[in-house]
Amino acid sequence: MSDAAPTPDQTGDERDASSAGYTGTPEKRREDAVLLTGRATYTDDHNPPGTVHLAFVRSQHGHATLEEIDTSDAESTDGVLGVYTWADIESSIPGRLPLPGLDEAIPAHPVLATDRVHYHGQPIAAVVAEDRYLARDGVAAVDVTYDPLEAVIDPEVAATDPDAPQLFEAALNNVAASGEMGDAEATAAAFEAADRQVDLELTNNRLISSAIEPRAALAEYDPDDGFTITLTSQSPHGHRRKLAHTLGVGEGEIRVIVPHVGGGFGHKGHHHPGEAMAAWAARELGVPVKWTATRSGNYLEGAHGRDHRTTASLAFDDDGTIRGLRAETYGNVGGYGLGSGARMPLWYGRLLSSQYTIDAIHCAVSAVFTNTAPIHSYRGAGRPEAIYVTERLVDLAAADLGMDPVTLRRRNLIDPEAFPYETPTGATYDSGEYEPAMDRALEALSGWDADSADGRLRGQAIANYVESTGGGFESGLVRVLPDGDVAVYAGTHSHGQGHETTYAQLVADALSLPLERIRVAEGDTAAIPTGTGTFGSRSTIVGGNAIVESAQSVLAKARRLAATHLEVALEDVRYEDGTFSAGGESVPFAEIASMAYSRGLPEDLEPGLEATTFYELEATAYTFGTHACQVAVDPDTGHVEVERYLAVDDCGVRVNPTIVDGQVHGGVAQGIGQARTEQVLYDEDGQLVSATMDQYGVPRAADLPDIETDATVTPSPTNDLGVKGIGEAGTIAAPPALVSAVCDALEVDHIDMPLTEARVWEALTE
Amino acid sequence: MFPPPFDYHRASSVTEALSLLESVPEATVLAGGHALLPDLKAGKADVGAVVDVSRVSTLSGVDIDASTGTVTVGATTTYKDLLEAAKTTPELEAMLPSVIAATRVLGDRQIRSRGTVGGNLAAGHPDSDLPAPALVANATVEIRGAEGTRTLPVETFLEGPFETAVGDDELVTEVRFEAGRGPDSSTVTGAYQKSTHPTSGYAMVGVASRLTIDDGVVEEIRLAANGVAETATRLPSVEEQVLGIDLESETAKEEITAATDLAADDIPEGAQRGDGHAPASYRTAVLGTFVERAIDEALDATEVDR
Repeated sequence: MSDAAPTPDQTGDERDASSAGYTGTPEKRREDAVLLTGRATYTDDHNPPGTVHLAFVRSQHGHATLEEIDTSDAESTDGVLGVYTWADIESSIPGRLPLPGLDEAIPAHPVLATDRVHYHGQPIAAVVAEDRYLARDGVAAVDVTYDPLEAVIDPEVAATDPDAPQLFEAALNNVAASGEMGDAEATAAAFEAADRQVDLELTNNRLISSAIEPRAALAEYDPDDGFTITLTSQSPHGHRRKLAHTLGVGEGEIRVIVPHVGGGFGHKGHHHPGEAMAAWAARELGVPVKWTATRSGNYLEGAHGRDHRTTASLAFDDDGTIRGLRAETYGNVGGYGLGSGARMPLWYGRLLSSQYTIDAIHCAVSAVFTNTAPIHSYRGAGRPEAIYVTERLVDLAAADLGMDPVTLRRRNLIDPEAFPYETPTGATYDSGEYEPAMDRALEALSGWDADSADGRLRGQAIANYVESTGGGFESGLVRVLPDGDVAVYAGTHSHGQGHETTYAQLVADALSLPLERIRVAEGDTAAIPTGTGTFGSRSTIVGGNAIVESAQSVLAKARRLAATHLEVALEDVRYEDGTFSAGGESVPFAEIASMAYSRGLPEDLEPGLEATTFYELEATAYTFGTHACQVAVDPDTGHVEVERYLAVDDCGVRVNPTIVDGQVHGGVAQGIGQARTEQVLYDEDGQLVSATMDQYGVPRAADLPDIETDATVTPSPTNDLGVKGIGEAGTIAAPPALVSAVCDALEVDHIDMPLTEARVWEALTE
Repeated sequence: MFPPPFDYHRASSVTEALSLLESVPEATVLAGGHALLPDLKAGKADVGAVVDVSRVSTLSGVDIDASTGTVTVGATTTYKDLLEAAKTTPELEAMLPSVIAATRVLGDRQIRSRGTVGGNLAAGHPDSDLPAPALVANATVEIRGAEGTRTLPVETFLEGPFETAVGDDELVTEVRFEAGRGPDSSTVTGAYQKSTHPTSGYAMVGVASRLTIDDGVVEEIRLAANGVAETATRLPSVEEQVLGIDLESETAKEEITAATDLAADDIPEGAQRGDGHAPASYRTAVLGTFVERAIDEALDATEVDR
């Protein structure tokens, strides 16, 4: 690939239409008929004969010692087959979820509570019963005696208040881990030398995972075959590895099957106690055991996201040139560290440079335990937190200078000639041409009616962002069947993203075959080579490239078979629209496939026609864009209406533009939700107050504007397909765009999310 | 969460319903189910049996008597039915403007198809939309039990948050609303202004207004608010000040604004209502704005020259 920065040679629409074959066409999603007519089978829909149900007794307290767990009433409850506590499981499984990278003396999350509970909702005991209703009856009959302890819920307080309760002896000041990114000295020097500085304290508010389908797992055990665990997951192989860890068995003893998944956005990428408990109980009882979280159970501890307290500063000159950025963050880990979630705050600073040339950046982070639900990746996992800080600071700097915030941004954009560009936080951006996307957003915005005829205050803003996509490797297997049909397997797992369609388009193009001949499957560790999963906006880029490379290998072999069959030299073979030809003779792909599985192949050709690729990017691909937002704020009530929203995104080549738009819509909806209505409330004892969907403000379709989308296309040089990820872009750009627009309307510096009526009212009346 | 087990009985008449309520242990009334079922699922209620009255035909229906200015609504009349009646009989909205306006913005389409007028008042939810219009329309609630029938003014019927005067073995059978009356020369108008809670769909603040205007002067004004206190509440401090205002005078607007600023005075401190999303301090702070809007909207619907 050329080192020169690629230019967006065409607009998104032109580029999409001119691509050969299926890439770039808005094929209708194959998934939808089944999903929309209720025929999709999710984990809870699976009911092998003899299935019994598991439910958890969950902690009623945010922080307490467990004095006694009396299970006698529960055990004698009708239909209850077993009631288990840590004492029942500790000798037969390790029983703790993975927690890589922390001091080993800090205990990992036990599947069932040991002597203490650290957060409201933490599983204490598991009840298995004949059906889910009887299981709940059993749960109600378990009597837990707690000795409540003082709780702490704010990460900054937990880390800095000497009187704050300590969750773990080994975690001094409740700090799970701390780290720095960038260069402290260089940043200090930059601040010294700069003309001006702005400072900001802000919170990136906690979110509760609200996928339509809550967590669920169905476990079956056979002494000879091992475990078969059907569960809702974003990462079948990842789950296999983690389950093996928690259960203390080899990965070869576990088969993970993942059927339809009803949403995830990150939280189903990590392993949940219910999955391990169901597996343990299945082995213990010799029957299939199913656990399905209730919505409130999922809200208590499906995994939460975000929750950062940040103090940040931007150093800049009188002409608006940004010199340095400094941030200090306390990131909430929750009551126990959960997988990579405990260290996730440490990496968030990577994207602080956003689209701007900044001489020096320093970010210091403490990841802190508190008596709240454990936090893991959700909707962007660290990237939204970084872009939010930078965009807010840039707005403040513009206000300080009396400069148009657009002008300030433009002045500092990374030059298109500068790519690949290494930021002071060690991120290397592969490609980018930021101005065209920003200009498209601005052009549209200028046409929006911002009249105040109805007495409301109107505000407009843009937000620039970058998003790192495509991390890790992925497996892609393309297998041609003897009749010429093609089966594609990938280690990713769609939970709404439309892989079945996108991957089929890619392979159909690579093999010049009709879309209908391509079938895509994900979600079975017995059938699919080890992969990584779907999160971090990675599937099209790593999964897509993996399967395309496999398809290309397959085609190369098919070509050799064709040459042999047509008795010509390899270089004389032409292939077009599913047919090989040479010298007036031709043979269709399907026939070659049949030959591949027949006897009598020449010595130098092995039977079979398939290929597996394990694909990894050599460099991270950085998606970018500009979102524009217009709000109308009622000055007498604080009500914020998002009147218009436009997302201009550049994710390189867009395989299926409709699916890309869908991804953007979903991300923007979630971003608007975080910015305007999603508020997690814990009381000072660590009780989750906003524990149901009528208290936690997941955005409704009726509350959102028509989300307008546009695109520029800067093909990524990191991969042959030229694609980048797009799944989380909306969650990254929407919060700063909305907050900025409201601040513009009110002419204030900053308001912390969510911008509820009450908070905006306070800002109006201060 | 799952409701605890309960028995189901379907009543085909009021008599049967009352008999079941009395004889079946821990029986409770089920109409539209939108107060009861969420509570059962959330573990906030536990009943032995439900007595489904939603198919008792005599309990449903809208009876409009223009001569007396009363509208009698059967307890199991759905919101949708009420709005249908307003469509087919335009006088209904003219008689009960804030009731109809509130019903239009209540919940969502699905809720409006199932929920009932009687059930709304009987549930006593402080953030519900109908209680304030009911107060403004001088509504009375008819309750029937084994001992007979009694009728209570809605302000007496609403006893506290989620507490109403209907007993365990009793049934709300109908709600009677009064239209505003005045001399033939007068105009009666009303409105409902709501600040919708983005997650629950209930009112964070909901204000119902009714004014009778004669020759440009406010002859009668009734105002009530949902969502700000433990029960829906009248706003006498505002009403007193608005009464008698000459709407055609230059100072009318100022006077109205000054009056609406007093609204918070009518919400006793200990009885203020709020939640995590919209604390009590917010609701009472913006109450005056919604009162003013409820008055303005009502006046805009008239030909008064302001």
